[in-house]
Amino acid sequence: MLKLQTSLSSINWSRWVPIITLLILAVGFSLTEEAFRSDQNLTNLARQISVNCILACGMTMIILIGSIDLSIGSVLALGAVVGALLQQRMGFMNSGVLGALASAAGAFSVCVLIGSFTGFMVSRFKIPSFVVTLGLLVMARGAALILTDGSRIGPLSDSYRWLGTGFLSKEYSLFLILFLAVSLVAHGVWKGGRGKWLRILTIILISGLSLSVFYGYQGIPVPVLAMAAVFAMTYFLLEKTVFGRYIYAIGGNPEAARLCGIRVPTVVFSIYAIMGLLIGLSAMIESGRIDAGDPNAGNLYELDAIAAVVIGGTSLQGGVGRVTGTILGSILIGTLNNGMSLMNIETNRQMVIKGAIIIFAVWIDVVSKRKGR
Amino acid sequence: MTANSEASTVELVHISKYFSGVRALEDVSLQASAGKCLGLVGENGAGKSTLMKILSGVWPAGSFQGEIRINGVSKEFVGPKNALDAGISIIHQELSLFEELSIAENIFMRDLPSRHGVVSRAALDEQAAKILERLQVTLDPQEYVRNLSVGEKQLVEIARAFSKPLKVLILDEPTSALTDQEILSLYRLVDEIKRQGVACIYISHKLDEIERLCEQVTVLRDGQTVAHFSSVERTTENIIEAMVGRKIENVFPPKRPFDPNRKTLLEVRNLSFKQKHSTQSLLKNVSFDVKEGEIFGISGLMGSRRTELLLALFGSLQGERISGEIFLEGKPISPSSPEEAIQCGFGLVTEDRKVSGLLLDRSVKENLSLPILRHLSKFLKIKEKQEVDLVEYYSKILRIKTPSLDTLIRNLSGGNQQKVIIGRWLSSKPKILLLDEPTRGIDVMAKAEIYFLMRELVDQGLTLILVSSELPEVVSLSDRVLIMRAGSVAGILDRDQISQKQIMEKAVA
Repeated sequence: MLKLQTSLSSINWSRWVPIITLLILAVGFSLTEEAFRSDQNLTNLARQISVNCILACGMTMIILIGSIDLSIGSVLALGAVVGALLQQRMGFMNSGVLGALASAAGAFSVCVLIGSFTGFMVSRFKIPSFVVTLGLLVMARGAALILTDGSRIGPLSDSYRWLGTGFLSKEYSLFLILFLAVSLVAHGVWKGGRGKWLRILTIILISGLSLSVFYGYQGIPVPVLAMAAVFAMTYFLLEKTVFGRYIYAIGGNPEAARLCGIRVPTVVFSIYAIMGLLIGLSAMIESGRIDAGDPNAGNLYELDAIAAVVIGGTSLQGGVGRVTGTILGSILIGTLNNGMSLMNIETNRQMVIKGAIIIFAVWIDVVSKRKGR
Repeated sequence: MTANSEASTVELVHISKYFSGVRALEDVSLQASAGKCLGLVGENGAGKSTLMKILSGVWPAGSFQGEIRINGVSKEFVGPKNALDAGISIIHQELSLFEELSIAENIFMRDLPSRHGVVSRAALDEQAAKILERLQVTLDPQEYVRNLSVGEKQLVEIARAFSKPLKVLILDEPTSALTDQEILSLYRLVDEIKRQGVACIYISHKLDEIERLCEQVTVLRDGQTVAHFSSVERTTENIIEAMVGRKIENVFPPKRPFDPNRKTLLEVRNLSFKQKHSTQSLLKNVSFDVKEGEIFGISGLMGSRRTELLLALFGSLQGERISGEIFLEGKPISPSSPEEAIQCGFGLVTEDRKVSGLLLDRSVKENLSLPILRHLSKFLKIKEKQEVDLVEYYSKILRIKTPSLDTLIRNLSGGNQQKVIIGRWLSSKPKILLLDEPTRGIDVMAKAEIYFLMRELVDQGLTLILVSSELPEVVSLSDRVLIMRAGSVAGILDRDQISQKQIMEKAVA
């Protein structure tokens, strides 16, 4: 009995809070709303969360080093507007794939440039990231509105919209998912380690679910592919590379990191530049989806991204957290939004419920961590 | 004792205190009389601050044995506020002023003169001016504290004690950050305070200050009162003897023969640093050389800039280099960042592991491999196998006790944490390892282990520079010792000259 108690209390509950909450929500919505569990809705859900997921991956790195980025929603709008303007005013719209690439290059450059600027101010001049990005939050939105006189710029060419609206065909989707599942399972079996079977089971469950959903509808949406790629790269970066270790070191103890010969400013700068890249990608997806560059796009996206990171168990002090938690947080928020809409809960009420759930999730997390110490 | 006590005398009678079974104080008694100054001296860890925490109510009545008496009346303090109300005030080594408030507001922070919750500025400034005048301190009460020099802040800190009727003033190492000029004004202030009938307790390592200010001196060692001197019988020599008189236990490796004609590894010539945007100097003309395979000790009082010297070598001293050259194996080097210093062949175990060494929320493995990690990757990816092998190797030779290499380092004991940090630097194969207080805050057994480890490392050809406040450590381990005083070299002792007494005399001279 005592043994059971100690083994129960030794489980790190905080890691399971987002998973359990997500499962409860998913099961609840599936039971009450038939529409929720349709392949079409689940495909939609995956597409809806992709932008938040991509941004939250970048935000995880930023929060891990103990910084913050409040400007991502506005920068996204600016990037989307610049890309759309290039499509419309420069006539790139009519020059097919090449024109789309040129417009995309414009959108990406703006976002990466602003990300680099933030990184430069934060790492070189030691201005608090909160302040720099608060300033940019206002500036970038203003710039987007100036460039467009406050109106949407559209329509856009089909090739430009591909990132936001495209699908990978059913056959390719089937092949891709099976390929990934088999290789991940093989890798898991070969490598072993603690929690091996749980990991393999998770892989099988997730690939089974996505196979049935995406194959059952139209294949994998391109934004979802982008999201998966960004997640995989962030995971690799944080867990497997020297750069990732440096991120955790800087977040945990910047002085110790510096004394170990780590170039702290370079790492900080790079992270903001990467964030810029991810914002550019999100801008493409977002404007593709709505077929326009909207200067009002991305409103409050930074808060959704931060919420996903925090629900996922990453500490706002930096140094502690994992990107897998962030993905769960992001899926949780997306599921909540989707389910509540299906239940015809009006938007204003949705906001109140969502906010409450964010606070609740983090509260549970904090309490269970405190017990763990 | 009470028989001959004068007005406003504070006494600590037969005080004993244990921390989870470990003795901090045993049967300590002392007495400070009104208008007099009692000097309290002893090595680090002798129990001075614990004793003062008892007197100032930080350790409440009941957490220790013994009695506090004021004017012969026994007092029981539940918390610091009781002690303040009883007229006992302590000035800590680190100042605790509010930089963004005025002098007057700082002085009366505990009890701002107000009406219906609104502070009355006029009354505040007037009362503050009175206190400053009484202490003959010429400062404007409306001045903001942030505009004051460190010395002036110290005076304000002391003036603050006078916002309530004061019987006893405790000064804990008040001069460690002050210039000579500022120390003189502090002396004048203490004289004035004595004249006003306050009993002072003055804690300091600097015996010249004790000499100048104190009528009586009590010496603590290992939590016990070992000597008490009145002004007639005391000399600096017998105070030092009483302070360090402990015989060194068998925690140190035996002395070893050392050939003074070994090859010189590190040469430092006339190294001078000053503070940025100020003329105050940090290091003054520091010159020394370190032989290959040597343990080179650096000793000196608190604030003698020992740590600054190490940081200068490690390229991370916040200041401006005025002059000087550093040669490593005969080649001139000038590391301007830790990264460059590491490339030159330095490693640094910092003074405070928690603040500048450990990543508390990461594993033993990640903490150990941090500086070497960049050499352990291929196409961005960390070569995990190689990393684990390396960490396993060092945790084995350093005998690090940990459940696994993935254990969070915060769950290890202080000694094992320190070994991980040492392992971190060994793995990057340094030529010289700089150790700043390597045994601070770890228990005696772990200390002994680290001492023997240091000896093993130099026997294998590594060179160590050891900074330590614990004299026995420096004396027993070092092949030579450099003594610092106020940022310059006060002397270098060769092997056969090293003794605690010699070091102390040079450090306080």
